[in-house]
Amino acid sequence: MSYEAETAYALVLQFGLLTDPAQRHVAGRRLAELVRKAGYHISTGFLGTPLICDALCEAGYETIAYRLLTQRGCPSWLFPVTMGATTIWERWDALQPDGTPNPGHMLSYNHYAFGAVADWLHRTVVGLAAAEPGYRRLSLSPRPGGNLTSASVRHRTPYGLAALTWQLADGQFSVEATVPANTTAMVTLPGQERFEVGSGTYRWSVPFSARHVTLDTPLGTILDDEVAWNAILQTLTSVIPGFSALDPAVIRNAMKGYDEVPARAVLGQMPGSEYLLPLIEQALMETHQKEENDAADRSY
Amino acid sequence: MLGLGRYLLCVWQKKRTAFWANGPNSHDEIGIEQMKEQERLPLSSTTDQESLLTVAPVRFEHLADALGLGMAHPRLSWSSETGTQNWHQIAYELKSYTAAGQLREQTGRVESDQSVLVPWPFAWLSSCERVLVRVRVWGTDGQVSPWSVLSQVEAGLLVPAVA
Repeated sequence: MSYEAETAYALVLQFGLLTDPAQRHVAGRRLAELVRKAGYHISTGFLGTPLICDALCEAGYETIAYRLLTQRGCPSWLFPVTMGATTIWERWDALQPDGTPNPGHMLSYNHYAFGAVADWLHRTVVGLAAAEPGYRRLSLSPRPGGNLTSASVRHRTPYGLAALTWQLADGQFSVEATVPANTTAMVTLPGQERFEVGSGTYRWSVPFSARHVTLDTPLGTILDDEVAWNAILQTLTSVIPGFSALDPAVIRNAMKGYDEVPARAVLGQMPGSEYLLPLIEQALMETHQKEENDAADRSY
Repeated sequence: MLGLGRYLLCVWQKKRTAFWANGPNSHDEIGIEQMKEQERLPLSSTTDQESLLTVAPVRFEHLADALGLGMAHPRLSWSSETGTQNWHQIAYELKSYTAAGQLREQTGRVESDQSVLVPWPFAWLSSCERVLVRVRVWGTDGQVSPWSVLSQVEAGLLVPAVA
């Protein structure tokens, strides 16, 4: 790769230009590293934006894709929403964070291109896709992620209306699906074996709890989990004098190259780790408890 | 000029046959009353409408309003609605009518589960020819649907005008 950019990796992965599994693995990992380095802000343009979330998911970095999706800082899909947008803009920062228009050229405030993420929302987040060209066979594969608690899609296929809705409440993942007459659907629910159904309207419910990170989780995965990473930073801040004055970029840089190493092994190299690690473990546990309680509260 | 002439002729024929837009109401076995009843049926049925089988109007090359198609043999698609789970089509029957409401051709019962982009089963359309088509289907449960509401297709100017 002569020029390392997220778009370059997304294109190479999604257009199938790399076929060797080992090479694909490295390219996917490098893409994840670039997104982490960019602070989970989108840095693709018209060409990479439709592909990056698919590329991340297929490489096993679903958490990063959802984090990109729910990012509100600039640039991101939701940043314009925080600025009052009801359309997709031609630039991520057509209005800049200070509220002034971008001084550059091409300044449409109604421009489809970045909206291409909607395709990924339909196919992956909600999980309704054609299992083969023409929708004779559907794929229903809802994927809860990020802090999303519900998602819904309706699509008029040549065979009739197909629909999928999911909801996450009280530790239960509930799905409602409509499969058009004269078609079948392959259904994949979280933690379940894939099964096939014929036409009709269905309701399924499976227990679900978000994966939570521990000290045995690879460091990169913890970084991708905003809440867990903040809990670790807070613990370090409360224990190490002057820690809060450190630049996050410096901290991130010190951990470069350790994304696939369990956090315990990385943090264990810090002085006083025998005292620090139990505190961090405790903080991660409390974070997980709080998330479960919040999820239960939301369901009432 | 000849092309324009053909175009105007088409428009005139369209006006002449406009009153057939809802189908041949005084001919064959389908009447306006029956068609209206079919039109009132909900497009999305649910399981509580036990086993009610209907079929939506035929589409031509995916178009509901197929006016001026650039081909003589457009492919046909239709979708069925039923409360029966695991429903599959096992057969269909298509009938075509002239713009004046005369039965043009019929396929008889065809054993097939195909319902999308089915090849045109009738004599090819000629330039500017308008045809009305309807379908009924049989399902795995043995039930047959009522005939669909008539839908129309009209070929465009398919061959260059000859002086």
